[in-house]
Amino acid sequence: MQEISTTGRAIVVVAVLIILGLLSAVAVSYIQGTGGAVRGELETWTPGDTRHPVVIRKPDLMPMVDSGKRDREGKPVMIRCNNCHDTKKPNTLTEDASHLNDFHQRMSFRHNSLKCASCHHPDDYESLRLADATTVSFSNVMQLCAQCHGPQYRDYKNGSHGGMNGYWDLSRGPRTRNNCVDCHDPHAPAYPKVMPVFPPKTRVQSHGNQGAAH
Amino acid sequence: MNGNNKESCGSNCGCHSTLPDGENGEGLFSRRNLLKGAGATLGVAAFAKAMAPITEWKESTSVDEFLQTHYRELSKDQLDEVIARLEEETKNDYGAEVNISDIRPQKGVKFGYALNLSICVGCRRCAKACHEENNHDRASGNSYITVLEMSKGSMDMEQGSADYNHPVPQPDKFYMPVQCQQCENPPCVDVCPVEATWKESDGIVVVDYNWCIGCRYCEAACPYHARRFNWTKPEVPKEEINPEQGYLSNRIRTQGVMEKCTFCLHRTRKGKLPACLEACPTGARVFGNLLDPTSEIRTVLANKRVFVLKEELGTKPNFFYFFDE
Repeated sequence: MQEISTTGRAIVVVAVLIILGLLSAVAVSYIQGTGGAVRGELETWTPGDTRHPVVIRKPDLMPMVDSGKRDREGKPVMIRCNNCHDTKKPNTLTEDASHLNDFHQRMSFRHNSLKCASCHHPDDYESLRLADATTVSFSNVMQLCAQCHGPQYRDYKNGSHGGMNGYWDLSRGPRTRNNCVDCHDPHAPAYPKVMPVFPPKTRVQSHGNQGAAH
Repeated sequence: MNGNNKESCGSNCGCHSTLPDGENGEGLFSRRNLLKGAGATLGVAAFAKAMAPITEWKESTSVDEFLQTHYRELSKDQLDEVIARLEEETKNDYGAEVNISDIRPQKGVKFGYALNLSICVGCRRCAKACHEENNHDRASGNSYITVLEMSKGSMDMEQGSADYNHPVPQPDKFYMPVQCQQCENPPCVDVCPVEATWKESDGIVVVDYNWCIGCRYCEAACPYHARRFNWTKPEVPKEEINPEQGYLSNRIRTQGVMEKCTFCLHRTRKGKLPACLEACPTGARVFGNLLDPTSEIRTVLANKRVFVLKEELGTKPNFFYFFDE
């Protein structure tokens, strides 16, 4: 009699557990909702579909020289090159501000042993001149730089030199690229030393000269 | 055990009430009773511990969040509900109106990244841009990018220094930014016990922050130290929150989950360049579609002397480094 009642109790307990389990499963699936639509199919990228341009930023058409004077509003008075150079006889040997009596005094020149007239057109200081005597405008300065910096120009054209913004996928948007003189001062082109931004505060690995403190 | 008592199961279940009277003579503090008491106490304690998550149920954990299933098992309607809930929570917690999207990978696109070590100057602007783009915790200054200052001649990233703070570039050093390499064979994915991280068809290794249990196995498994853990709830001022967010990328994470670089998939899956590339002043970074033979990244792979970090581990990164000749 005892054995029967124990077995009976066990069966009842198991049955209750099964019913509870089923009920909770139903409840969970009800709460979660079975949802509707399937998530969208993947769209396909189309090769060669370049609807948007790569725009190379261009420097100002007309460079100006600071006269060192201020106008009534306190703005510096800027002077066009040909204001002076129209009448001045060019000296093709000038390579440094120390050779000059006025203007360009504060500029520093650290571009190998180039002379002013290596790049500036001696007969028209508002344009540039290539080594083969072709005249180019200031806005096409990259043509001039590329004469000597071939590998950099090649890398630039291949997209592995020079900062850019916009879209990698030209089928969806344009891209803007810096030109040479956006980053390099043509008179002292070595990229300047800078202080790094954003010093790390996280628990990054600290090897090398700092020891191995984690 | 008492040999002549078939019903005795040895536990505190009440079946001993049928014991012969002879058993009762041993008193209240018999060894058996004490053991039974100790067992019952331990059992109750274990039960209470197991139930603790329910008793510690927080207001901030909604039933929907608790019952949310894995990202890849969510239907569109369910995901829409989840995203609406997350946007609401961001508004309540941070006061910011954000737009969380779920952009799927494109067929025919596999992302690759290359970095020119010859022109990287170590300015760390990429790390800063990552910090801002991806809504990282402001207090810890977190970023997915670690820029290492390396001695020329060494290629061992473990010897790099991440906390340099002097004018860069130093003449005897080079600078190597390291972030997630989006490996073909990602060890971090293999070790995840709950499949909260996986590799998508465009090559990006992603994390479902709502499925992650925060065990940090993936952080230990990653040979590139590319994974980050949210020790605290991220602090981001309302006005600094980037409102364009992705479910799998830069939405604000919760405390106790892992996160990692996603190549800014909320940008790159829309065709845009990643934030770290746009921030780079030198153009050391090259990003694009590895399946497009005319892409810049393919030109780099074809023409430059390219290497990957810790190649010997067989992780097959989709992040490449190169030097100009």
